[in-house]
Amino acid sequence: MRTLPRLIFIFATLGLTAGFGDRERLLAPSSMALASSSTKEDRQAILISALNQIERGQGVNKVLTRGPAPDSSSAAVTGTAAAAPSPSGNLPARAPVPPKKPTEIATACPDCGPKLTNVRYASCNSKNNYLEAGLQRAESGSGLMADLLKRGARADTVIKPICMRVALEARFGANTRTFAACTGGQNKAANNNVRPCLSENYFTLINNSFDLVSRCMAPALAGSAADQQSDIRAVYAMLNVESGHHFNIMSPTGAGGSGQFTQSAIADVNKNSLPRVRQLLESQGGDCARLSKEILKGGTPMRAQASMSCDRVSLAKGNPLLNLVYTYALVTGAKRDLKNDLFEDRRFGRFFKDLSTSDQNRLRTELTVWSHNTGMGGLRTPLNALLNTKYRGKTVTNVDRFLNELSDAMRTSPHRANASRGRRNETANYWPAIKKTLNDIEKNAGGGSCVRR
Amino acid sequence: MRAPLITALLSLIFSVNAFALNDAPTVREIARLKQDLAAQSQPAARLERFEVFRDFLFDRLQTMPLPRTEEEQADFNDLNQFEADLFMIEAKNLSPATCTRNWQKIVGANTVADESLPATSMSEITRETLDILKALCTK
Repeated sequence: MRTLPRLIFIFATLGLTAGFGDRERLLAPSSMALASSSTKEDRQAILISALNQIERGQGVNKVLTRGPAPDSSSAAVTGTAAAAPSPSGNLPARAPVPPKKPTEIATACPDCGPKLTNVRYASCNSKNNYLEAGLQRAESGSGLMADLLKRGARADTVIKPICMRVALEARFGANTRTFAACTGGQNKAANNNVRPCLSENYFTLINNSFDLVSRCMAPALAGSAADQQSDIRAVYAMLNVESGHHFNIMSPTGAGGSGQFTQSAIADVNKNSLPRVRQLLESQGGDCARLSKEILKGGTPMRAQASMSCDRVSLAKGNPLLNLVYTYALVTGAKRDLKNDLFEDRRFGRFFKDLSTSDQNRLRTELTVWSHNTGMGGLRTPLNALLNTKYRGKTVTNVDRFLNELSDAMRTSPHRANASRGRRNETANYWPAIKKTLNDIEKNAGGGSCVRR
Repeated sequence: MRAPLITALLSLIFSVNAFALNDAPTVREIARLKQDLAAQSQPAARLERFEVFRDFLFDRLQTMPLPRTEEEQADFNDLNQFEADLFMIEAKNLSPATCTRNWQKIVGANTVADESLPATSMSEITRETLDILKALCTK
């Protein structure tokens, strides 16, 4: 990589993490506090190290080379495999192979997608190999997790594998010590491990899990396939900042896993979303139904108490699948609330009537992602203030401009719980930081969108 | 010497925690709303009265003078927070289940949550919203 783009990437990433880490927050699962775990110099060193690794050949452009695709000669990480529409018009829940029966299209199957081949993964060492034995046990076992590992890293995922690979190295350095391990059936995680080894099993599990859960939850996100893809990209972008997609990341404040779940957020999903999510998953059959039956098993698949924090992060408890299902459950619930309380309210709805359906969906999704950090109250207070000042007698016509104005409103009109200087900065910067990180990753992954169209 | 100091501290504490809505027309309307809800036994009529109040609050925030000082800005922010809370109440169909869900939603949206800190008490603004919800949901 040339010096100038590298410097831009480094300073952009340093800039977007600056100012985070204030501890009080409204109910929201995210934990940007992780950013405060290392100094700017540490982060700079970590980024330089990651970028050097990419240059040395561990990088994504060289690692994720295209191999022979068993079912489709065009399917690979280069983005040539187009997703086939399902009968319902929603995002297909399986790979774009010619279906034998129409009913198979909506069913994610273990062995039918093209796989990444000729890939070189990182060599593990004694410090970062602590998940490897568990991954091998999971692979040699039975069930959905075993199938996800056995089938190898899929090449035809909604989010391109190259983007997932870049994301795994972009957020946390190899020596960051905020990663949890849960051994011997323990319930409370100890988070003093370094970043896990980016081995084949590790990458395969993360790549395939995000893809499966995204496809299975897509019908709850939006109506059209294009809007579903856009929403999945937004959730991918959110997780880039929250956890870097590492499922055993644990914030010093206790937030854990891919979606950085706190006690309150877990309790919220358990109380308000589980029946709806189970119904959605089981109605689709195939691997989606297996997600419900194998991963959401029992009355409380993820226990909320801090003393049970292994539920959020451990492989043995079904992660990353479990945490990802909870993340999507929270996102779809918040998006539904925003629709009912804001976009379809006869008074507030008029502010958004000049936006296209697709732009309305995008705005709702981006607000939902923002609320992951601010809490819903923390989003709505500045949002209402913005509509009650700049938008008196006007309508929203430009989503990006509106979101920039909302960032300003988070500084001038915060919810009382977000009124400290630190929280004002953190909440105002959250969505812009996500957007910037996504842009940087897409640029470093070769340009173009991370979504396979 | 100590008594005035304690009095001053107490008044400071109470000025922070006191009812935060200072917009006189809104405060008057809240009082009228609560009175009307208490007097109305029909749930549908209570909902109708609640919608009238929400119309009032929406119009008030859309037309009131914009804040110019820091103090006015703080009052304006509180009023927006109150509006945001109030519009989280899904009031199309009130049943024990939807009342509970609304309650959880409002409390959840306004609770400071962090496992390393004790949850702080809810603000008076949120309590005011919950009072109105209680009045709406009471048989």
